[in-house]
Amino acid sequence: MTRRFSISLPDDVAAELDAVDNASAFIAEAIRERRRRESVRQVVADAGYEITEDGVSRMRDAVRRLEARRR
Amino acid sequence: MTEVRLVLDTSALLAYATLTGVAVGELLTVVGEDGGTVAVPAACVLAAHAALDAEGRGRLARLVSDTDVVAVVPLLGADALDAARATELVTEQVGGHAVLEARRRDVFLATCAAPHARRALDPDVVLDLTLR
Repeated sequence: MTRRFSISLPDDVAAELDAVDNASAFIAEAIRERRRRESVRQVVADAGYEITEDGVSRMRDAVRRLEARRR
Repeated sequence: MTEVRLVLDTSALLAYATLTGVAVGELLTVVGEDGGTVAVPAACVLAAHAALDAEGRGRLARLVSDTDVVAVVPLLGADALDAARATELVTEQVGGHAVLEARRRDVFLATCAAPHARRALDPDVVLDLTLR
């Protein structure tokens, strides 16, 4: 089932949709990705953790370093 | 399931569920933002669950149920003995199932028991969550 929306977008965002074949699919995927990101943050916060952007950034660096060593 | 980026072991699950694993929370956030999946071996869920109190079990349950960034991966019959043998090497803190999944999927293992994990895995595939 699908529903039709009429939306307004800033020029920079609209420009992204101009470059894709299926704007609806692109927007749907973007929303799903955002939902995923928010769901894990919510689960972790509900568990009792306070996750900082600095902590996330340091962890991302650690992951990148490990992945780079494996290549 | 999107691309599996890493495997969490029993020690990581226990740290997360007992609120001593902020690094686990940070790691989950990173993977979530990057669009990937964290694989949690079913045998590690069992082991962690058995060691937790009610509150910890609640956190563990929500972790494996309430976000699709985390996916519990099964232990199939054919792998049971291999997992058991790997557990002898790395101990229950890591869990042999976690070792099998890290090897099979060619991803790194995130653990709070890195010295144990390194008995079975190359150090370059072990992410020590105690070093943050």
